[in-house]
Amino acid sequence: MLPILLALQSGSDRDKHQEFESEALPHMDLLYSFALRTTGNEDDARDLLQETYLKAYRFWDKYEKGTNIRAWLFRIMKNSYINRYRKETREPDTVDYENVENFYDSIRDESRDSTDLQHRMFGGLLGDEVTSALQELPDDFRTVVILCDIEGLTYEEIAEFLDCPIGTVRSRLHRGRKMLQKQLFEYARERGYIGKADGDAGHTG
Amino acid sequence: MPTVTCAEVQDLIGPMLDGSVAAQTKSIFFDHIGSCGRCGRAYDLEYLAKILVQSNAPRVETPAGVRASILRALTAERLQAGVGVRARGWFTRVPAPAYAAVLGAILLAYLVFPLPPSSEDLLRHVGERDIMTQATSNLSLFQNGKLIPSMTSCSPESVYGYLLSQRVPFKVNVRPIEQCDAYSAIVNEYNGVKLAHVVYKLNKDLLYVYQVNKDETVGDDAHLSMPGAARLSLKNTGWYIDEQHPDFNVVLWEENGTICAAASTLSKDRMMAVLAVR
Repeated sequence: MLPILLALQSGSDRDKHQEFESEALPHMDLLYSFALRTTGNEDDARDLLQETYLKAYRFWDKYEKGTNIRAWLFRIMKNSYINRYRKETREPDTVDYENVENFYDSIRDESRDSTDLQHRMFGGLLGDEVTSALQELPDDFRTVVILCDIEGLTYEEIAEFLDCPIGTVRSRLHRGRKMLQKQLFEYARERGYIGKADGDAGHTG
Repeated sequence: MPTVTCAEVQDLIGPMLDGSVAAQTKSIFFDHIGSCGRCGRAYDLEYLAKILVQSNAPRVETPAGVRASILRALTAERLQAGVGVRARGWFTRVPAPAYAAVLGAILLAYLVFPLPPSSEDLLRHVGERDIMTQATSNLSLFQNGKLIPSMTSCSPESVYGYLLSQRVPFKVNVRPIEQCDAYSAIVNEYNGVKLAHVVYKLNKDLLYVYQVNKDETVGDDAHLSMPGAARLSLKNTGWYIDEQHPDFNVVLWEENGTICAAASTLSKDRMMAVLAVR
């Protein structure tokens, strides 16, 4: 290395920085993607990502080498998000799901093709609308849906990320998806993509 | 054949969709939902929502600009941490009673002065007074023929002699560089501050070095400025590499009481190699 470059860093600083770069930075896409889906906009996602990496860098000596670095980084991001953005939300006791089921019953027999069924059920909902529907979910439920359905993590990985039992991941995922179905269905109905009355299978999307 | 209840099947819907169910269980599962309208509907709806999310909210990659800003913030953090480590070392050598005085001084400083700048503030260039902004602007002007050198020579000694003759009130640095086709120089004033500019032509590339007395960059009423991160880095290492310029590589260093800001079309490695020559 050139003398100039050597002069820029002391040995331990350089080692720490290089170690951090090689271990933590490769997971930036996972963290950014999660931050974007969680906060719902690019500015907040960037701020959350930056805060996460700065905290991880400051506390790098607390990271136990050989353990799951992705889970460690994720937990830092989750805590940062809670401290910074989360508003108090009450978990719904039950999901009023009847309209969704009734509507589905009314269209199910017309098609068994999943793409057509999806269109009849949720109309032409696009990325922003799906992201908004995700935003409406309570944090704990949204997190597992994002990690499983968007990031493609296994239940075991999600349990490690959240530091909770696999059974909790399963139940949150099941309830989160149900809430999401209802939200997507309502979005599609509000936007006129599907019939307004229950049982009306007509769609405009 | 084993039978399952609706409750058991509904618990299996998620794992089935996510591929974490054994083959034998799958067979039992699908036998059930084939004959149970309620479970079939629950499975279909969960499946439809999952594929809708996957197709409309895919995983995204980190934009290049965001990635760059994270790297800049980490660099600034590292520089700040370096100062902190030195400060902690000092504290371990100081007797305990001195802490009270130091803490008092810190409290006073917080009352009198604004809070320390954030990482982004440390990297910010402030207007035309910024040395690196001036260096990159001047290199652009030089490239476009709008900045005409006062003299040009193949000999670094001639350029040095010219600079001496201009009575520049600080030590100007001129490096003899192999493969340098021509050396150029300009001396001028900006807001009453004398500046020296040395330009090296290396084949198709240019290396421009802006030089000013260090004293002109120190203090609140200084005529020239630089980002906080650069100030910290100069203090700690004598060098600073600015990563914020898309067109040029920019390096700042202090040499013999002179602040030098180099902007170049050379690659960073080549630029460093050239500047390493003393």
